[in-house]
Amino acid sequence: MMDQTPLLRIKGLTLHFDEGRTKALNGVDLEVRAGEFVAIVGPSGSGKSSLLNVIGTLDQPSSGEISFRAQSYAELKDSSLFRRAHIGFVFQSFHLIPTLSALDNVIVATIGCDGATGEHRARATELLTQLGLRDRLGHFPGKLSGGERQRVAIARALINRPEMVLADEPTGSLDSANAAQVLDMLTGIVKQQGLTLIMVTHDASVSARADRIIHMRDGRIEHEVTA
Amino acid sequence: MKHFVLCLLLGCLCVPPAYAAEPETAASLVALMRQAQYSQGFEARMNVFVTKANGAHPAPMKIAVIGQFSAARQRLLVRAIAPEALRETSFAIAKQANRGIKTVKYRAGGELIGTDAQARLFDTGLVAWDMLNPWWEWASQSLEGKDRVGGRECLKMRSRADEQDSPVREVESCIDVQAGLALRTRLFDGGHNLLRTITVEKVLRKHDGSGSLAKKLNITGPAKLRTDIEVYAGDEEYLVSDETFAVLDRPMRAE
Amino acid sequence: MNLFRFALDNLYRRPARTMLTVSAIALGIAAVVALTSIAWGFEASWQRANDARGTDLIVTRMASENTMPSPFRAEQVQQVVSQLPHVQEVVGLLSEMLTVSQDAPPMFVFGWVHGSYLWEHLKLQEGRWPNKSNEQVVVIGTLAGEMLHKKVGDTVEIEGRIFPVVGIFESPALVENGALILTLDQAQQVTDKPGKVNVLNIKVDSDTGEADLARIKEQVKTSLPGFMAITSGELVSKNAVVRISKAMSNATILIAGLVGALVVFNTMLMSINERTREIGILLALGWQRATIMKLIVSEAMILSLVGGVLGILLGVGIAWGLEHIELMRGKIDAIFSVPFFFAVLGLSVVLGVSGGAYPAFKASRLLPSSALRQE
Repeated sequence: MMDQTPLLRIKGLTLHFDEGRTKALNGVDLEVRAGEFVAIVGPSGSGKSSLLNVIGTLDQPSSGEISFRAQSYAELKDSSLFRRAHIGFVFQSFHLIPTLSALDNVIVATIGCDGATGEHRARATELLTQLGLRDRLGHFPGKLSGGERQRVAIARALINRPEMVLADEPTGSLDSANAAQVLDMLTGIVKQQGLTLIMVTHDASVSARADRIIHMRDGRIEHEVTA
Repeated sequence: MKHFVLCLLLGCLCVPPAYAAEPETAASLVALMRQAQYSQGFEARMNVFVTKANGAHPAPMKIAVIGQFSAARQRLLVRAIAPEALRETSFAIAKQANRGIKTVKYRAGGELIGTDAQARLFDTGLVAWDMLNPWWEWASQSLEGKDRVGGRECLKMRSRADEQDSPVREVESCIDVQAGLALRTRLFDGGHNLLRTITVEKVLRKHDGSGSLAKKLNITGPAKLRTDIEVYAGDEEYLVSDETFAVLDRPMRAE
Repeated sequence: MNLFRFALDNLYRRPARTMLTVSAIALGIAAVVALTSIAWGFEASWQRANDARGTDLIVTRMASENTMPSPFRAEQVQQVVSQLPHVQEVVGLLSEMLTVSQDAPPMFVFGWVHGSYLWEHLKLQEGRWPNKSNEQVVVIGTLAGEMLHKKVGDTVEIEGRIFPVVGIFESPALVENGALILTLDQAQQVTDKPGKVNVLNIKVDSDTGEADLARIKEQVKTSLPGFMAITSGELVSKNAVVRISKAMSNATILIAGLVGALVVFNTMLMSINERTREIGILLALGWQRATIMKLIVSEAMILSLVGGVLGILLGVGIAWGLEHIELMRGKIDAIFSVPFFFAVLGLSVVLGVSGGAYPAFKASRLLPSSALRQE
């Protein structure tokens, strides 16, 4: 049952680079409810990833307002702590650390967090098991398939119990069979845990699963479609 | 430079006047150098290592040198300590103003033999004549600008012999004025052939801080003979007794 | 998995570079350990020699650059010093460093007044002491005996004179164990310094306090121009070789410190440049900037500490090796102590922190979005 209260509220958001010559976002207004699965689609350079980066506090907007549970991003004292507490990232190219095992790649996100190392380990094991990687815990990324690597990345995104998962083309580097499997797992866990998912994608079959599809062009939301 | 170097090498205690201001003329530099070697008595013991032209090395030597230098008279006693074959063989060398250099060779209790001041001592590159630095008394002295020896700046001085029959007709010294020491001395004959070069490699400040002594030096020549000398012990205030140079006053036979 | 493990993993990732960095630090630290321990040991050995003799004050003329103080006529100075209050005994000593065998390096040859208190701290191992002041004999330290391959009944040649070895002794000070001792008369004859000594050893009575010692020093200074009375510690600290060895060790500490910090700096800077995207990932995962800094500094400190520990082992090995090579035997007696090792490890930590500080700061200032875009 989806919560109707906006989790994320964006108003008049702009993101400019090169002293204003490049306008990655040019006045975006958006509200996302808790538990919602929102797909962001659009041609390359339309501002999809930039929007995701601003939502994830990886970039600071040039202007506009953005708030999470009514707390303005502008008032955040430590964006790292905010990310750790509320946001999980899944990237197209996995971004795993090659010298760490699958299990350690998940646990690395907990370094500096409260809680016993044993608890983090147990949860990481549980997540990887849930994602079908029980027998791959000690494997290094180089020994895992693309789909397996992305499942490790999903576990890593979820280890700190975020409320919102931001996924940037999570299936973009996978073949269709693996893509479908990863997507099933990601959406399954997200739904099961009642998390909000915002996903940038080019793939119509992926966006078709979303509760809402946001179409972007030239740094603006062109239109949106609700499932 | 040689008498300078050697004086220093031998541990001569020199009390030169203040060297702070560079002498402007050859005469004033010569005066400084002559005064720098004055000593009531000094003793230095040194290791002498000879490399012959063919690369062969005779047994390393140890010699002791005792000296007494004043304006009127310069006296040296050079005694072999080692090797055993040369032990207690000595040379007494003296020069008095307006007189030639007298060199006497003798063994303890043996007869005294007069030798040539230009002869090499113990078959090394050491020459009695050089050790007394007679060129500082020559009339013709000229400054020839600056040079560097072993990274140290020095003033070049050319001394020309008064007498045309002198085996050494010209001496070129390069003097570190602050140290009161000739860092390099080249001796030439009448045909301007290089006879010997004496180069100071390492210096040591005198214990009274008045100048420097040569701690280590080398002599190249004649030909390709090389003599490395290093002072290992010394006494800058050696007590010269009446007996020290007594042999110089005894009758001797010519060599 | 914790920060330390992660830092270790990052270092394992580039084994060649890590090894090179650790080796460079280890070499620097080894030089520091070896030279410092030798410099301190040298000083301590001389100090022990003077202390063991029971000398309270030493009167000498110090030559600034000479290993040995300049010799002087003992008689007049001795007379003046003997009359100072609290002075119980004044004994002359002559020392020189001489080659006594072509097969051994130059050795200390001491001339001590026959029958004086100087001899009392020596323990005769074999043979006898000289019987009278003009007896042409020598006693040698155990180490000197070993180095010269001499025993009682053999002879040694000192400055062209032959001396029968009549005794072998043991001293609490290495410098004496490696030395040959003649009576002062004989030493003066053999070095052609009749009536001369390098130092006068003064023994004061038991009532003498610090203030009295200071007064004696002052009186020597005023009544004997050019001379000074100093404690054995002061004499040792003024010794040219001690000063040079300490200066060398200080210079080595400085150079090794600078080079070590630069090596760590370079390694860590290269490392973070290669790992920019990874640091971006960690930032995206919610790592705080302080945690990134801790990671980089931890890596730098692991490098420098491992280098430090290896350097200590290597330095101890070098000092030990130098003590045992023929040229140095009897001259160095390296001193190590636990506080010294901790100080060296402290130096390593300083290297790590100073070398890692800027790279850590730079890494922590990375913008996560641009770091993630880095190829």
